Amino acid sequence: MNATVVLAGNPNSGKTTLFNELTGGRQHVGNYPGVTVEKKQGTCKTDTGRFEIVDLPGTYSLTAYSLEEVVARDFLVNEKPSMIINIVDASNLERNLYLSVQFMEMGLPVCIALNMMDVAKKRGIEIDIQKLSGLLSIPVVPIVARDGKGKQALMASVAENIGQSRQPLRISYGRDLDAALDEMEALIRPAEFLTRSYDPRWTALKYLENDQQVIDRGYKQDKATAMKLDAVVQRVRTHIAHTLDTHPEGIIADHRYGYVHSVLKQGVIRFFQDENRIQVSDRIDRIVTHRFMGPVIMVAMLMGLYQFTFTFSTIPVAWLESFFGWVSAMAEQALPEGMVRSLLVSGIIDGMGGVLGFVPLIMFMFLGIAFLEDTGYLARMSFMLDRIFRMFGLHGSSVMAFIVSGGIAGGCAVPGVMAARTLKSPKERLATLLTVPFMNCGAKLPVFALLVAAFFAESRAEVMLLITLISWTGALLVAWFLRSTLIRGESTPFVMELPPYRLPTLKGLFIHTFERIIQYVKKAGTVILLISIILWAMMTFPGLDETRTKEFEDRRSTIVSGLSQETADEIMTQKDEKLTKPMLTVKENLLQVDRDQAREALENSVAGRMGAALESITRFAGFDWRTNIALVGGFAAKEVVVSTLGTAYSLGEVDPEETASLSGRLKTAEGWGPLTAFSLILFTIFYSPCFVTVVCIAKETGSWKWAAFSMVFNTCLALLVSTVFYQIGSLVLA
Amino acid sequence: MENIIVGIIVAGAVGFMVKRFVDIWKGKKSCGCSNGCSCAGGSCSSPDPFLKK
Repeated sequence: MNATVVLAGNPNSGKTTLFNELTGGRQHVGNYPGVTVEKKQGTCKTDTGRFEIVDLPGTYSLTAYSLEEVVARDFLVNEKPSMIINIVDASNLERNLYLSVQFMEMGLPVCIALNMMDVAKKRGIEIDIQKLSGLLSIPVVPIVARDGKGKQALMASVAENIGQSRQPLRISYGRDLDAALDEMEALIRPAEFLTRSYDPRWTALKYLENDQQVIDRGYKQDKATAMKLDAVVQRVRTHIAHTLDTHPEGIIADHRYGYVHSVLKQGVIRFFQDENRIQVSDRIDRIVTHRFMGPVIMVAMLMGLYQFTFTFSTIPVAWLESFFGWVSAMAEQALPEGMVRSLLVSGIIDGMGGVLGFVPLIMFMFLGIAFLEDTGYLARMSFMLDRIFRMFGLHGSSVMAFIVSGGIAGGCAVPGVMAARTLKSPKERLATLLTVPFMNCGAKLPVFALLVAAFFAESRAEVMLLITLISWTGALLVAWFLRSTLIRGESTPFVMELPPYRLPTLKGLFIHTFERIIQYVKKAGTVILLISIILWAMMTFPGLDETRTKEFEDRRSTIVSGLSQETADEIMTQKDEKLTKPMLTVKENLLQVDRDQAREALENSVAGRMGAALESITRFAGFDWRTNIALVGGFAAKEVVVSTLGTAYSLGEVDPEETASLSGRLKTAEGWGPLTAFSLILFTIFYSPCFVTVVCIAKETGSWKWAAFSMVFNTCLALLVSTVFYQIGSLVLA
Repeated sequence: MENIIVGIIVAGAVGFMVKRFVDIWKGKKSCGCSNGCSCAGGSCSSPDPFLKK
């Protein structure tokens, strides 16, 4: 048997977990609602057949209020799957069955997978599976998706029930609405109004629920019938408003819940503990989301995360830095001096090595974030920050987009921009997707880690926390500015379900962390490698002209004049401790000529000229031409800032005995200090999003205007912030 | 000879980079998130918190 089976259910009911169990996939599972925004597909092979499994976004209803609901419903209507596996959270049965009822009203083939049976049992809930199945007239299979229990029985039940015809469920919605539904059905059937896609009574229901997608589709197909239906809806709406002081949507929801309640009351569910007993999660939340304690705990959590990351990553990062230094020195000794050696050592090893050196730091950071996410704490952060976000014209749903983008350093702005889709208000959505790039994505992390290690080594975690707070404050202030000027509009309310606290599994933590490390390394081996090569070329060519090269040669000849060739060779090949004082002076003079030549060659290169041209603006923020080139390269991917600095300072390095790490080189480099470093950190936080994010903003807003705005506005803001900081800092420290 | 080798490597890097940019622009190329989808094309399946660019 070959069939398409859909996984559908409420957010955070375990659809993606079951999807991974059935398909052997490794899709991201998160302990917060809304992880899946689009459908995912995979294959499940069992004894009974081969099933194409589609994981739909979590949704509470099938009314087109949000993108997730539209995606889910469109798929069900257009693709007509052989079976829907409706994942139902057994510990929240009544609320979850609300969606099941809507599937049944559409006449869709449904099989209920009663998930989290273990949680329900712990909460003292007993469910009579047979009775529930009998009363709903659909198969119900108990499962625990987390460890795969019941999945074989579930797929066997699916195979058994595929192809069986089903009549749509008809619920009574009270005298007023039932009469209206009958009247509308009588209009819909003869006109064949949307009957190819929907059951007539369901279409009528959607009209009463004011479902804009169905209404628009109806208008396009048959305007006359649509207007007649509109007239019925308006009449009923007015009547209900006068007599019951409510609206049809409210009555429909009440009756659906009434139906579910009546089913459960017939001995389906029994509570062994007090039904209203406060669960462990609620008890934890009383402290963790407390009005005053909550924010303190949140800051402490972030601080703890950064402390954990730096404490455990410092030593392996140092190992990797030493390793790349050793590789660089080996390559330098093995290859003859020339372009190939320069490309390999300065372009590739020192460029990519700078980025790859931070793999342990990225690993520990991701591990910590995965832990916070899997426990359910990230969802609490959304809950707590909602009030603050509303003050700045954003929405509670914006919080998750911010966190996804790197609210806790280590995310990515691209999915953050896409996560803004969950916002229903277009203006709040626009404000969100224009401000999420200010968060500290995983690509900015190596830049911060490099500068923090070089200049703030004594208080790494504190500075990292400060960077996080600056980026949040900046993003909120910009959101407030945008919402008060360019994108004014009302705020909309926020409703969010807090998932229960769960103990993360080692497997889950490992998968999450491993995935991200692989992506980081892959990116370093592809994009960063390519850009490192290109920037090396830009920093190498055209080089010095013959006249200048000869002038440097003449300086060298002057220094070694009077010495025999043997002595000159000895000076350059022997270690310093084996040289006499006069020989050391000659060596230092020769190295100085080398340094002068390398610096002049760099300044004369394409990148050098570009960087120097930008210096007229950026010098007020404390940046020299090398930093400028790194920042320009950072538009392609922010890690490039690190790799470019690695290449730039490697090309300027002339003594093969010196193989210091990049942070070591920066610490001793001219023009660098804590003030310049923090100015660069500020610039990196705020300046233009990377290329991929800009494209994503353009696609999501449907306009290149906003993408261009984010590039120009953000870069101007970054320059302003870093210049003000650097100038004030210089005055204070003067 | 050395200049030719370096020239080929740099030209290859430029070529690959341009292709990658064009692919991202057209929405054909993944942003790098583990879902292997095309974020830029507006069809990424997960707002994953940690990605992965």
